[in-house]
Amino acid sequence: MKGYLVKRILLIIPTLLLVSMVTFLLSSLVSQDPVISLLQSRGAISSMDEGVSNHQQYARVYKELHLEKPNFYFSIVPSHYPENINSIIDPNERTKARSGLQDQKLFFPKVYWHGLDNRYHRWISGLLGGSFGVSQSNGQTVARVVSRALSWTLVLTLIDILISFVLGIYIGYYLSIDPNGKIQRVLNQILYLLYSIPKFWLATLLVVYMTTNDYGSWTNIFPSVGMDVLPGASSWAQVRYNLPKLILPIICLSIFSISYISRILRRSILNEMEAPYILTAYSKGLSREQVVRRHALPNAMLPLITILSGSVAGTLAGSVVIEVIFNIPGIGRLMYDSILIADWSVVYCIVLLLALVVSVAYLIGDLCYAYFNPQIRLAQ
Amino acid sequence: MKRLREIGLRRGQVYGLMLFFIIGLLHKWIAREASADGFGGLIPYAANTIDKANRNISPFATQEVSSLYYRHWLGTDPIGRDVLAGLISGTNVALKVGLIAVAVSVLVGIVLGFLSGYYGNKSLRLSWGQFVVIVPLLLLSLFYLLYGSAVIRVVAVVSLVVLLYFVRDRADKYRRSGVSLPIDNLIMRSIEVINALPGIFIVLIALSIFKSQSLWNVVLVIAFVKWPAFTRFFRAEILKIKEQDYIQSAQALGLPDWKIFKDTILPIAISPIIIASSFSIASAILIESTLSFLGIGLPADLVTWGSILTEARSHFSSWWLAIFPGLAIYLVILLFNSIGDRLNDYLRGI
Repeated sequence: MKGYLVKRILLIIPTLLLVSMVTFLLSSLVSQDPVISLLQSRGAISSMDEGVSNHQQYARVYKELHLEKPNFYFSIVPSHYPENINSIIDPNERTKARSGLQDQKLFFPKVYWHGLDNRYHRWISGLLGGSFGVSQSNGQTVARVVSRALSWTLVLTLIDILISFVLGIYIGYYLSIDPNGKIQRVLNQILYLLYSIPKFWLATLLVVYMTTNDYGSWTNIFPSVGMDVLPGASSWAQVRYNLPKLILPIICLSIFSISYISRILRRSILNEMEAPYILTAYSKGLSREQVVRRHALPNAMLPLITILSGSVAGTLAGSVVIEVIFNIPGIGRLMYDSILIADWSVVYCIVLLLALVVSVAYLIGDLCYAYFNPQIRLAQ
Repeated sequence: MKRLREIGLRRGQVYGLMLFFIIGLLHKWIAREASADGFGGLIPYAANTIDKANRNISPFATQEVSSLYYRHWLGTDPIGRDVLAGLISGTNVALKVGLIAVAVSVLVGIVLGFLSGYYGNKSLRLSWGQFVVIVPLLLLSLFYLLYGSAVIRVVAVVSLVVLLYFVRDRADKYRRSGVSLPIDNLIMRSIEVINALPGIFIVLIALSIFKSQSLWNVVLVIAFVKWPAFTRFFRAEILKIKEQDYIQSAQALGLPDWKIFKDTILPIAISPIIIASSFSIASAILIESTLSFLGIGLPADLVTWGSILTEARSHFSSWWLAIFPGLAIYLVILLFNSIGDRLNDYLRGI
């Protein structure tokens, strides 16, 4: 068991390293120029052409961001390519060089070794030293920006998981006590319909009908979209202050997860009811309700563990669009905004964080599964 | 039609499917701008036709149109485009994205799942001599695929296929010496890297790489997020089948792997893939409409369900912009989810 745990934890590290390399290399392919967006966010320029035409300013920022260094430790490029295309500072020249390079008919691969002085190494060694870098959009450290966003997403996700598990398990249990009952059948159909509703449609409908006076003042139940800012308060205080505004987003998130969990649990309990030990339980004289609660439910919870650990990724992903619609400054929204303005140091940090959370969730899921189901021996 | 009914689909599901396909394929003729003599499609507006007289008009309001034929049955958006025509154009987009993205990922998933499940880490053995020749050649053709011009890329793909065929042909499952290609590990590790991130984040990052916005980029990216699931499904299925006696006797008879795959494995292992692809079409359409809702990846002039819905966010009083496109997305997702459930029951013999 201990050996298995160590092995699994050690396996997370290469996965994270690979994820970081892949996102880094992908980001170097992105056409959006970080220098231009940095200059725009600083208010130094108003248009893209203005940023390009001011050579001195451009070159200064380009070097400031260390963009002139090669991307990775080595590169394998066609023989007529320059050793490091990043060293061409003028963006027009760079694009021209890139497009001109593709015309040559005959070429061979050539391997260049760039040594440790490259962008990836700079970033990863900064990371190991505990620094995630600085966000380009407002000059604050990435750790600060991300942790502020994280408090919003954590609150959203945790409340969603809590509500959906309590309600989902109860509804799933209720549905399987008498699966052919009239109420249960109707409820099951309703849950099926709720399960397929696109979250962003539900959110749009709720925002349109429940937060405005356009359809009569009696439908205007919830506060309008957009979070209030308490100047100078900590991020947790901000979240607490805005809790009433989080009700609608949490409804959107948890309607889906409640229907998902209860349907899975229902199916899982009904599967368990076929097992021989249920017959034994009946022959002891227990009622169906007792059999379900005492015998089938605990065993049917096992698949839920795997589902919960696997759905962490889905929950985080689902909150992107919800955060955008409700204007919540959470992780999803931060990622969305950062990609749009090419603020890559923030994106890398979020990507690594999410990869870590997802891998750890899988690990915990497997461990819980083994703990609750003694038939599984992890060490083998 | 009859066949679809035989496998347990309900009448409504078959009609829904037919409607989806007919509207999606014939969208250009159904929603067509009326020419001067007043002859257009079923609806006299194309998705991008702007009716300046009727902007942001409700379906129930009095509209400034010459006859009932020209009425905007589902209203118009703030710049005067007909919502119904937009929905029809959106059906085409959803059809393309749902079917093509899922078809591509199913194909990739079947090939990689077979390689990974059937050969595992130890079965593909090459002698050192073959290894030294073949592996650099493989890398070289990948290199030319990445950097070459169109002609070179085609050559690279062809030589890649020939090389893979050669590997498969020369590999000896029962040899003890030489090098084994850890193909299972390679594929499963790359899947782990992809699965370490929520799909929508991969889609967002990947879409920002493309310089231009086009539907095909979105299809490609969705296929990229979807193939790992199919690979894992197919691999798990093959691991189950592989140990069966009939596969081993086919191997003992000396049948080539391709024939074993085609005649014995594929017919059995395909059924979970069919079920999964039905659910996957629903989720691919959901991803596409989420992206167009967020305004990412798709060209701005392409009218989709998500792009109409997103207009409702800035025009709260236009309820028809929120209801109809969302309903279209919802119904199609419901359709494919329920078809998946029915197929599941049917193929598992319930």
